[in-house]
Amino acid sequence: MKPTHIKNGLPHMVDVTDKNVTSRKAIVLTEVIHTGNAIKHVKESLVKASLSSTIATKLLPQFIPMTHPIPFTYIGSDSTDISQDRCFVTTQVRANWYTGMEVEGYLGSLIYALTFAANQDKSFYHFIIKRSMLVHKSGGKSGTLSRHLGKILSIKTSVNTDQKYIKIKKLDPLFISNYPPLAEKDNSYPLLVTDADLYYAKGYIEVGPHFMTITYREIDESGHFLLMLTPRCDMAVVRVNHTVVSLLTEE
Amino acid sequence: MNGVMRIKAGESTGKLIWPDVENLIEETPKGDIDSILLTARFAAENAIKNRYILAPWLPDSIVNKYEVKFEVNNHHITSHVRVEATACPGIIATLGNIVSLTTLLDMFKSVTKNVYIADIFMSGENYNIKEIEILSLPEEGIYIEANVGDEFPLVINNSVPGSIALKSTIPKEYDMLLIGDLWLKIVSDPMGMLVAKATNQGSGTITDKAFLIRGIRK
Repeated sequence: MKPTHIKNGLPHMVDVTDKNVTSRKAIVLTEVIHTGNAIKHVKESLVKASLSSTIATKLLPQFIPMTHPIPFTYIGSDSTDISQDRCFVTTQVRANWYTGMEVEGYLGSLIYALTFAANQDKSFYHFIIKRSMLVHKSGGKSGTLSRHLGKILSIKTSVNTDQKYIKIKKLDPLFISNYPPLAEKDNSYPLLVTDADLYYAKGYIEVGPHFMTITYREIDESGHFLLMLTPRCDMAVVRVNHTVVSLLTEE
Repeated sequence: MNGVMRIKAGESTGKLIWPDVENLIEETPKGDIDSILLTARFAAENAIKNRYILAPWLPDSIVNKYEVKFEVNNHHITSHVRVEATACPGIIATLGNIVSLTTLLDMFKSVTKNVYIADIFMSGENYNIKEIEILSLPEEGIYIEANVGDEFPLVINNSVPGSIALKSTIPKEYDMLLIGDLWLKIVSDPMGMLVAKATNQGSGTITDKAFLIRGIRK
């Protein structure tokens, strides 16, 4: 697979003339953290963030050169689960059109996060946009794709030292609750997954700062997924409050 | 306008990550990668020049200089933007970086839908971010996690688990180190040796890079 925006070594727009108009939707989730634990729920910053995000999404083709103009039927960004150390921004865009609109979702979500952070008094430099990722996409040739975020609930090591597990609960990305308190530190590893959705993470999942490669899986007697990781993942000490991210996969 | 306007500098780095495709960079012609990076740089510069459209709330300022750089790796591209301006250079740099990374994502999304943006952070005004190399380490690096107040020696034997081993000693003008989401303040211990003291509860893996950050506002 090659980047379709490059032709004969030069950037160009993709010709979508012959594509069909379909009802399309994209949802992007952005996680923002504050290293000083001082996020404030300031109404003015939320209003500015919403307005800037909407304007930026509408004007995206002026800034991202090879994108197509899109007549949106809906653009909406919202911040959820604002706590002292982090918040989540969800951006949804919809249109009946020829092309996908995930890039529009990304820019809208990131501009919302930037505006929210920059309008928080003097603490802007404590903010990190930890991740921004497409969590849902529907319409068009590729059909419906979803990415699942989860939360590690507990960690345990098997009696057999070659078998290491993490217990994970899948959460709806639109309703992420605050992280639980840290469990005691533990060296942990492969995965005991309580939800079938991560079954689809056939290549990699991300846990904390790591990508873990899944090389083997089976279903245990309780119906839990046992995911065996490669040796490289032995370095992946995992904390209970780490977010688990699966690949974007077909529904 | 009366008086002298003070130019300040700010920086932002961020990553475009694709976890599921091996050899993406190796198998894409170098000319194509160059074109993609030039397009992202063009877009970032355009966003810096037209910043009030994307961020109408920004205070009026004059941008003196900007620079957009990339580092290409097997599973990610790091985008780095530095801006000199009379006001809010860190925010302007972050805005440029967001557009740079979104453009890169647009160019790579046809290769894998699993591409995404991560770890966008910014330095304080008049300060900078320096990516530093780490001494040879186990292939997967050393994982550390810390609570507020935990201390780590900065240059020690890297065979000690949990240690931070840097290629060079920390220049005195830097005062923060970022590894994963763990922020470490560089301080002197009673013996006068530099140590890194955790300022948040966080974790990260020392692989081949870490970020030294000067001048984070408290």
